[in-house]
Amino acid sequence: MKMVKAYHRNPTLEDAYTAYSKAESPVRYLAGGTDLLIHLSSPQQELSTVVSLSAIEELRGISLMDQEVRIGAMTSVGEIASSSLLHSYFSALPQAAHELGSPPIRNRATIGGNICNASPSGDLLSPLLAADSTVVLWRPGGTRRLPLAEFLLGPGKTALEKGEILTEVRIPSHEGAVSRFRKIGKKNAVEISIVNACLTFKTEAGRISDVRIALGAVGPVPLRAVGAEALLRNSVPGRETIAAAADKAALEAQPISDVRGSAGYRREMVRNLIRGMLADALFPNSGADGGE
Amino acid sequence: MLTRLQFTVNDSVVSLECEPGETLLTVLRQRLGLKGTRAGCKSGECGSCTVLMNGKTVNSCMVLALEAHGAEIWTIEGMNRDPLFQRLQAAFMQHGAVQCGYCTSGMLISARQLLREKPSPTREETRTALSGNLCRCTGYKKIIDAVETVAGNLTRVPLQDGPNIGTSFPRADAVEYVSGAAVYVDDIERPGMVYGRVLRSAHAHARILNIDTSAAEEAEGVLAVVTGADVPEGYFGVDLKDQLVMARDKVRYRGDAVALVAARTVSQAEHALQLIKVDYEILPAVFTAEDAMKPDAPIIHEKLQDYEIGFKTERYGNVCTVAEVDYGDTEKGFRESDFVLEEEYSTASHHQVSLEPHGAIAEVDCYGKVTVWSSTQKPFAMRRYLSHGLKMPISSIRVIAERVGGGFGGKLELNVEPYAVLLAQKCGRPVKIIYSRAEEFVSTGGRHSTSYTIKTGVKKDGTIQARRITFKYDTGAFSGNGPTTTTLVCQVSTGLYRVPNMHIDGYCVYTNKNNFGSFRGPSAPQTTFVIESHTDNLARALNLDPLEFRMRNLLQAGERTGLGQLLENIDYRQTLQAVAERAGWSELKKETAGLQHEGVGMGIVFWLSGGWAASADVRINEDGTVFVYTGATEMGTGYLYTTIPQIAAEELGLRPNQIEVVRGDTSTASYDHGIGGSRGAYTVGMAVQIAARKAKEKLLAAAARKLNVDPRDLEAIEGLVRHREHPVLQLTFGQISMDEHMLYGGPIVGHAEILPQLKEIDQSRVKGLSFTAFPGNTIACHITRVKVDEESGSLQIKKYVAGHDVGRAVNPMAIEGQIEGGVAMGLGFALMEEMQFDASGRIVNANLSDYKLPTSMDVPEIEPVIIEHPEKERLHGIKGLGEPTMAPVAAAVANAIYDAEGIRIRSTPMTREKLFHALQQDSKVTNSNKNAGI
Repeated sequence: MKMVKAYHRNPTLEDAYTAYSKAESPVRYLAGGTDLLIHLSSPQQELSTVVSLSAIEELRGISLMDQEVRIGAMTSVGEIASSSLLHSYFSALPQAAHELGSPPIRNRATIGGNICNASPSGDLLSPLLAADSTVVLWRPGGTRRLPLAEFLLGPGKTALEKGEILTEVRIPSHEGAVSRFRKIGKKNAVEISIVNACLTFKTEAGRISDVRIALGAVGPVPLRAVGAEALLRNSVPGRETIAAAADKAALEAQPISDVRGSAGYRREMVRNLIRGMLADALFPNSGADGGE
Repeated sequence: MLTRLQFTVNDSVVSLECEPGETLLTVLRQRLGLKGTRAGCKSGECGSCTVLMNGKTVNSCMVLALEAHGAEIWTIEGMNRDPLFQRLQAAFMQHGAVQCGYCTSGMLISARQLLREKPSPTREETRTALSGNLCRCTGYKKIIDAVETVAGNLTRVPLQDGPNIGTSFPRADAVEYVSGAAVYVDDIERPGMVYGRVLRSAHAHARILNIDTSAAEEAEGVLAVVTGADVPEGYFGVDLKDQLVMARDKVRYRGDAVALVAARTVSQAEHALQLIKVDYEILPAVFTAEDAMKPDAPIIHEKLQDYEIGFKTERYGNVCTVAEVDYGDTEKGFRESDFVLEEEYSTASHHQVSLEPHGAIAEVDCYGKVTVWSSTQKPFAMRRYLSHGLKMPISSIRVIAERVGGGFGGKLELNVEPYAVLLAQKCGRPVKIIYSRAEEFVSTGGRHSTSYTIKTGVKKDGTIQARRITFKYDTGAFSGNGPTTTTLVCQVSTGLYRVPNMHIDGYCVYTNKNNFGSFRGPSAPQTTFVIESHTDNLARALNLDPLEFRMRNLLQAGERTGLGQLLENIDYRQTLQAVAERAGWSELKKETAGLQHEGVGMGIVFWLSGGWAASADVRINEDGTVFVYTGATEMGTGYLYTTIPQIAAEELGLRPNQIEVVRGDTSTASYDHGIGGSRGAYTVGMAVQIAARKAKEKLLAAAARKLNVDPRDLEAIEGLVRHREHPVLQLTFGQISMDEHMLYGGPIVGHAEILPQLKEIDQSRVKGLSFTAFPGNTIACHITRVKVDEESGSLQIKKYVAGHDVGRAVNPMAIEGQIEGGVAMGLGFALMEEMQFDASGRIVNANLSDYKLPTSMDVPEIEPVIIEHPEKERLHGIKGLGEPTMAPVAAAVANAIYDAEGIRIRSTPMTREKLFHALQQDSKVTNSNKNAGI
């Protein structure tokens, strides 16, 4: 039995909002439930009212519109993992989705839930951050758009205002860009990341442009390694640049030590992941270290 | 607030009123009685509760039932009608893909969904698709093989027609698991049954000043509240009676039972626990054996000297057992050595993590007699412990052991059962308690964490001269199986190699942690990790091949172990040679020599098995079929439904499918010690074989009377009793048995009770051991090839060969299943599993997302090698197998890492992080050495 005192499921955003507003605190929107239900398992928890978003059809689906990809908040992680549109558009995201949890978890978990849960290690967050995504937040009488970086405020903390619903994620076009995602855990599958990282960039006449690096599980929120990006931007990358960028990213990480891994290991993994991803992406036919 | 839920379940429309907090899992199981969907972790980590929802697999524990409104749900009960599912069920049975069966329902559903979406997946895709369904028994290989067979990728299937002994007959009861019909404790409902929960101590060590239960007693739905004051002061324990059923004056670990509540629903009981106020006076606590042995350490058991004990040992402070082995002159041996190596090792505690949590139901009848349904490996011992702990006569307790959804030693000791009994006695209704996954970690054992110092002196030619070992085992708040485990360390440490001078000091030490205890070969994985890592270091120091170094020092058949036990029916060298050849040891060495980051390693273990009393009754029914009655449990290995019918069939001249095993309980079956210590096939098999032989003698005597011939001229063959010289003189079993029943009264029954004697050891060499030595000795040798990823510290197991002397391979498929599952568990121990405690003694990873279990994507293809040196004293020749299968894994892996990188990891688990840091350290050392010109 989960700590739920009332359950509402409404077919429209307006009805869901009304149900949410009328309920006594605590009240929670329910997406896929794979995080929320764990939270609602502890008998020490106060009973919550749950407003399910699962009947709102407009929150589902992946589509290309206005030079952007729109992903409805209730789109499952499994759908993202197998989306051919996303694979050709920004492959790091479906790659991350494929490594999130287990197949049955991926069938339930949603992109909106993963974002609103705001876990520092959330596997979709670093690709979304690297993709420069924005989130669309709805409330009666208006929607607003926020860059993901401004939406995520801390572990479990977001810019959502009371009753506001995250309805979709927008990813701008990355035509011509490569993207990569990698994660490290203690085992090969069904893992919470010790570190995850996403890299995207373009090359124009041998020079790197549009580079973004996002790191997960090494700070209170997934963060951009802007210093490393700066080292790479406009460079003609070689072994030394790659090493310097990886070192910089490791310095930019703000890891802590916890049950999953030490701060030191996390920092080293940032370095190695970034170096490996850059080398693989830039010099796919040479060894892991790439370069000249 | 009830809300209407209407949905389709297995093609039927269902409509019911539902609480908003109910999950799909509880609605399916409790409201609709669809018990084939199993509850394993209730947090989406294990996959036991997998069902189909709108055509997709979901963890039904992670779906609010009301979210399924309007949905189409399929559970295993409905899937039974699906042709693809039926093919998978058949393949699972044929391949031996079922052991304890707890994961099977979910696994089958995930497999079916994979094949539905992708009829011909690659092996890797199958591994990925099953990665959300944990299996603790099989090592996944046979499951993946079964899926591959249905996918048409695999055409070789186990040979399942042949002689009774040596053929891989599928499990006789496999259909119960693949159809979801198997009944575990949590599947049992009793009329008027209510639910119990346990309030556990919030402190590691504290005096209980006061417990106020008044608010809890008044809470809604509450029927009984019990505290230590309600319980008779009955001490129980395996070797040392140091444990009370509930904490009385003080708590000794964060998880000690302080109060119990029974209520109409689980939630009501959990709510009531929150209302119990306990005043504690916090006491200083200790969390390592080293700290607990310091002179000023807080004392955990003030009455240690008063406790009843079953063997002789020193005990003082927090040390509850001191074991000592001494022979020869160790100091002289070291002096005469050319090279002496001393090292320190440690191993972390590691949990059984049976997918089925501990659970029990207790019911008191109008005579005051108590019936307990329990997921236990050891019902007769359970009855005895309950009798001691609750001060009740043995005759007033009946223990019914149900299917065990994974045991691995974790379900040998008393745990949840007395709580259910106390609550049932108090409220007069049947009480069910099923532990949560967190409770499993907090209060149900695990493997002892250990530290060892090992010192060995060798001659230049590799001959071991002397060895000294000191070890400390952290047994937690109670001794449990600690003294036995301590004894086993001494046996395992002295069983393999010829060591002329030896000294061992072993300590079993209380700390303020949960009671660690039996777990698949208690002491063997830890001791083997230490000794076999150390052995490799010695070999390398002498520039000898690790195989060659072992060969020079291994004991020979007919020699005695260090403890003085005679080695019979065993040939270490031959076994080691055979496994090395099968694995291609020399070729592997050559292949990896030139490869950076790749290496090979081996580990070997000496193990003892069997022992303790068993009994069996074999009855020949009126129609000539045979029932085997036993009080032995089926802990998930399947021996009771493979090996046992095969042995009985062979003895009676029947086929295994003509034998039915009937599991009894403590009131209806004759005594069995309990299944553990790898004694199932070995010891129960002996009892069944003798009972079958006796039944056959009676059958032949009856036939001889009817045929008017000498029974010695008759033989039983293919269901007939036949005259050896005049085969026309024959009767079917049915003809003989029906007449016997009608004319003389039945049944035709053979009864046997056996006690394989413990082996003699040289008592002058030991002190403080709780027993001498089990009868059956065996050896295993594992060889692995690994590749280290220096970037992350992760390890790829590129080859894993596991060779075991099994005595006689009665059912090769069942044996492979034990080996593959044991190696998978060993890899967990070696690489990732660890119970992590914080500074206050709290387990910080008491869940399956942070306690890491190997998934289908973490376990490599394991190659079992079966070696047969039959036990001559035993009719069937079997040796125990379940336990030693996981023992050599950590050593083999550690030695392969050393071979690859020149780095010695001296503690488990060898996590990616640990290995990465070791590589970093090493490269720093290497660089600074280079700089210094070394």
